[in-house]
Amino acid sequence: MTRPSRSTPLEETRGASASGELLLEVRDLRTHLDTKNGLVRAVDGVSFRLHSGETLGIIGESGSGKSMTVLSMLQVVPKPAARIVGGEVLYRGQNLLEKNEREMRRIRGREIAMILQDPQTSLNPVFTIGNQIVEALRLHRRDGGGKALVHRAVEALRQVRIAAPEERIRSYPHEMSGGMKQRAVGALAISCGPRIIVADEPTTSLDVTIQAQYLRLLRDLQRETGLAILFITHDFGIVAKLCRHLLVMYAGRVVEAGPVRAVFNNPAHPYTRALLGSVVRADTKAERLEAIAGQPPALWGLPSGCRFAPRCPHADDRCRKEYPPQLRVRDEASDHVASCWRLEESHGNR
Amino acid sequence: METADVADLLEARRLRKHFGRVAAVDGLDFSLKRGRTLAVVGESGCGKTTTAKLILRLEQPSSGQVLVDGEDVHTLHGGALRRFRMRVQAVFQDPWSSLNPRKRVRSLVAEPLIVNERLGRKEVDRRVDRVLRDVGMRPEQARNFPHEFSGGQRQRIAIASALISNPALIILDEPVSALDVSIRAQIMNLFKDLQREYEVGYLLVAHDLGTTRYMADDIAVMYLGQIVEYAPSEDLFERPRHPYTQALLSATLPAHPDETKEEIVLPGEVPSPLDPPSGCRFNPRCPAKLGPICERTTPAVRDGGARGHTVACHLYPE
Repeated sequence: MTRPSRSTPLEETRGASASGELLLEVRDLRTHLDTKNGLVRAVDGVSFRLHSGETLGIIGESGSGKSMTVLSMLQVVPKPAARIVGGEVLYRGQNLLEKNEREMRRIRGREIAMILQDPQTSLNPVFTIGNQIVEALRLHRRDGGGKALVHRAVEALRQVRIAAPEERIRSYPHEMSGGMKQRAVGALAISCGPRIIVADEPTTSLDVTIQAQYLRLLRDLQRETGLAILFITHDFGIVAKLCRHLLVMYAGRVVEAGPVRAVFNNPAHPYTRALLGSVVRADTKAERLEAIAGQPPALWGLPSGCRFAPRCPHADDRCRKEYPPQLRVRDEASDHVASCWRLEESHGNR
Repeated sequence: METADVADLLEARRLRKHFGRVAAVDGLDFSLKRGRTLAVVGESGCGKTTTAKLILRLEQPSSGQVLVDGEDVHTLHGGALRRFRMRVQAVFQDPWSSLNPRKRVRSLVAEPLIVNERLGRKEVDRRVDRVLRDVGMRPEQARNFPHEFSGGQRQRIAIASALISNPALIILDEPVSALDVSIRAQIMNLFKDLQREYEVGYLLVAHDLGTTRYMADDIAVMYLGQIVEYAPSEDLFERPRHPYTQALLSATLPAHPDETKEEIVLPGEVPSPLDPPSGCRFNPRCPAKLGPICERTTPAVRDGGARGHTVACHLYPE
């Protein structure tokens, strides 16, 4: 009888692997959207770095610009409404924003692959899963003929722990459960041996125990291949479990960034603090939740100052008028930063 | 399960619902008292949504009963049925699809009153006013259309509409899972405040255990159409008995990167309800399986070690 694997938490690997090769550096990325309500600065000066073997979490609510950031990186923003208007996306030293569509096609999938929230939309319902992986391999790898490609498709399914992969390559998406479909999408993503996987809320549609399996799988794949993972989520639990570094986004901007442990121990931006405080926990019983007042902002006609100011208990006149600079948070982590005028006052513990 | 007394607000007795060969809900017993919250948790296909539909009369049971205030809701007619519709309301997951986009907030919120009660226009306005204030909105927002509101505000409108007829029971079907993280806390606090004020009972259907722990007094854990464990909320979280409950709790995400807990990763997925395993339905994935008894015999409901705590598992003495 099969027994479940009991092993140490995902935790361990994060501290263990020191930062590898710098794979991706995004500098001051800006993407604008034309909407009927006016111009939206969906991504408004986002910068970060990603190394091989590292997992970087981008956390934010709807409209924070977290998904638009990665769509811009890969130049798959919805056109013509969205325009990338500035910044650089340096992948191993080359600026992806200067590449044409033909060149980008060689990057997407082969160098940087994506896993989306809903596996249903990532798989073609009229082709078998094997066909879809072979098609991707044929486009990107071009080495080896039909048999070798099928063999590699089987291997990809095996890597994502799909049982009996030789049989499963003949399955259509509708013959698979939600969890298995998301694994198949994972197989499709890793089949061409990318260095970076961008995962946009890949577990949101999965059940709790299936989500646990999937996160473990991503961690194992990373350990085996040295992949870098860019994980987009709204869930601090996933960040705590999987990520080494974290960006917190609000209304198109990064408001806080740093090592996950530093941000959890010492959240500096009032938004991060409020967000962490409002999370319902399964491990203790809360009498009352600390709710954040107000609504996430409408992205057109944003205030010129700090975008969180209307909801922030510490905001003063300067906060409402001028956007705050990015400041270093004084704690043990050298790369913990936050954009807040009142960092010292609001962040009372130091 | 204890036999519930007549005063229970809601009671399910041997409740079953079959869709063809699939037993979506297979013999449920539970009860809920006025002003309390019972959560039904479990993964997709466990039957929690079908259970909610059976209570709301959106499905007819194949056998068994749903009692509200001691009356079988599936035999109601005329005035008694109208009364039921006033007393039992629902709030659903997605406030984008649950509100008619062509109606103003006033008529959306007032609908249960207009359909079920004969009230003058002034009285309706007064009640709409009051309930909008109670859910944290401004009365003048009654003139607006749903598209003018964010997700959190829309959920407040849906809650107002559920509350206006002074119900005794509201079915909450994943009421915060479509909302942004920063809004969830507001809405959950609101549910708690309203429960105290209106003395309303909630049947909460949820997959998120954090939400459940915050909201529920009692929890029923379902697996493949059956309740495998039933307990007061704190007892369930502190001393889960059933191996499935233990796995479910261990799969919840950590609150801090330094939190270490033993993680029980279950093999495989929930089997097809078309062909459920014999004996205990959890046996093919169970890390604590005893042997042939689990494959052959459906476990009876046993004492879970605390008052009101029961578990259906061969690990525990009958």
